[in-house]
Amino acid sequence: MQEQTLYKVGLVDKVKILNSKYYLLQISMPAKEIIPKIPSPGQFFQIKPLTVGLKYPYSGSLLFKPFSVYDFDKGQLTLMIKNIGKATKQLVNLVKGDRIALIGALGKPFDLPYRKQVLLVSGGVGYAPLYYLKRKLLDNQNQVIWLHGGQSCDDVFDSDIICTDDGSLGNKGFVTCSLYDLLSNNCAYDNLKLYKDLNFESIFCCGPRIMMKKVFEISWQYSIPAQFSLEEYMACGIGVCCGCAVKINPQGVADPLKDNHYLLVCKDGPVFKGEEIDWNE
Amino acid sequence: MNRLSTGLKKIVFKNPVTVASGTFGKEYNQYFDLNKLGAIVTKTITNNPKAGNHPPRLVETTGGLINSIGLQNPGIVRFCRDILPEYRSILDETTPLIVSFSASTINEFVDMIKTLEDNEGIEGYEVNISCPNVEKEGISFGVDAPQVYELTNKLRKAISSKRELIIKLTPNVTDITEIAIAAVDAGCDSLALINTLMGMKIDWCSGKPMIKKGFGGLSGPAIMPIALYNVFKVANKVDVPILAMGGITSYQDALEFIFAGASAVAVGTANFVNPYSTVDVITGLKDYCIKNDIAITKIIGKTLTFC
Repeated sequence: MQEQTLYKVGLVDKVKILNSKYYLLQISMPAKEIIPKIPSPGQFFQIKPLTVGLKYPYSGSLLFKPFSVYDFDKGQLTLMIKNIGKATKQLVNLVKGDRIALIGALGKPFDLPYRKQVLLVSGGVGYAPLYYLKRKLLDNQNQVIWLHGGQSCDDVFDSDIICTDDGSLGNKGFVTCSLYDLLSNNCAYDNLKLYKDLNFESIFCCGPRIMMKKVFEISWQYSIPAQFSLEEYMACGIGVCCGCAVKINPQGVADPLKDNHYLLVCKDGPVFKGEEIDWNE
Repeated sequence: MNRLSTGLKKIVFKNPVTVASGTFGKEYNQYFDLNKLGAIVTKTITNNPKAGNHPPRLVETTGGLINSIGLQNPGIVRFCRDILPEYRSILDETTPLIVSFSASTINEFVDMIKTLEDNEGIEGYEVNISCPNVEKEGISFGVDAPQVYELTNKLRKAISSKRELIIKLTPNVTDITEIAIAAVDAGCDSLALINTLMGMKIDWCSGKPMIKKGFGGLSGPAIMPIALYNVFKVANKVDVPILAMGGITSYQDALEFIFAGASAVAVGTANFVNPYSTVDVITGLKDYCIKNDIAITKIIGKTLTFC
């Protein structure tokens, strides 16, 4: 039997500091460790620093941690890291040449349309998977409008419409309010008027659960199919441990044999159609 | 000569290393040949399919992992129809398959073992009476010695094959040896210990528990000293082989358990820490035995002689 290696070892190229919370971790794959296939937008990697080796778990976090592909170009993988805990702190403190174990690319990617007008909606670190997605959507000759929101100016990045909860940058208010205004042609902000004649056929979304729930409700109201990239705590990343469960919307699942009531983010996702998920959970 | 050869009462292991139930699956076969392992223990199955617990189900702690999966599984019918044949096609005759199962009544346990008896390709049963994450199954049996006795006794009588009957014990009891003795007196072939310890973690910002149910089972290196003590304690009191688990991440950890009295060991959480943990532990044990020119069985329980 031909065995694949489960994890590859990459080398840190650079940790780019975006601001006090967000970082870009750039990892290059040595020639002999090339990822077997190019990751698709929405897929993720399980990663773990190897600075002290896999066998000494006390020195850092135990588990591999899942991160969506932020970008992949010429054998270089970029991940966006929001520094929120012990594991992310360890990642953002890596330096050039540090070794990092990677499992992936894992999971079900976004379905990409061709020559459509599409909306991206993200919140905070939910920006990450949509960056790579946008590149691939443009390759498919789609017209892409991106709405991105965050708590304050530190949580927002380059996009067509920026929203902040505290109004420190762009539109003041939730990104979902701007999404609703845009689709309902109730353009309180001038920057929304630019796009009011577009006929959006697809929404791609990643952000906090409460935001994605609202985006799903809006997409449902306007009958625009929407895909969501979800996040859950994960251990194995390959469908063994069943830790990263999300509740199924019983009306929205086509396969009745899936009587287990839960989907796994690592294997069945991380990208789901909005109607597959029970957003009330 | 295979210095690593060991076994439980009825099953021969070509090496002492297997996997802890719930942390491993046939999915790993795409990454390494599962026949490298001493044995395979399946995820726990129940009679009816189980959806599992509400998420979040996992959280990492210092040196450990708390889980509250809730025995998510497709049920015994689909296990026998779909999963068992897959294992049969993957595993050769040198790699015994041990099926972990749980139920909510003694009769249900007995019915399940009868169903499993009718299926080929199983070398042993690990009776899970120790899962802390389900309401009725498992642990309610595992904490009560008379119930353990009655259950083990009925399962013993229901087995007509030469398959191993292993009882998996919980450490969440006042005295684990009392439960172990009950299982042995009722005729189990061997014991597996320990299952996870009850634990919890709280989000210090909001005060909310990080596991939906509030608590879960703690595993990983953090629990190893406790597991080792329990194995040592039980090995002092009973005369059946012990399959030990609890925080093993290296061959040195495995050796500690074998010295404490284990005939075989299972790697659990470490599969998530390093997916090649099992293979690394086997390689380490092999080198150890060659270097010291001994068979692994020679050191089982050696620590008892120092105390």
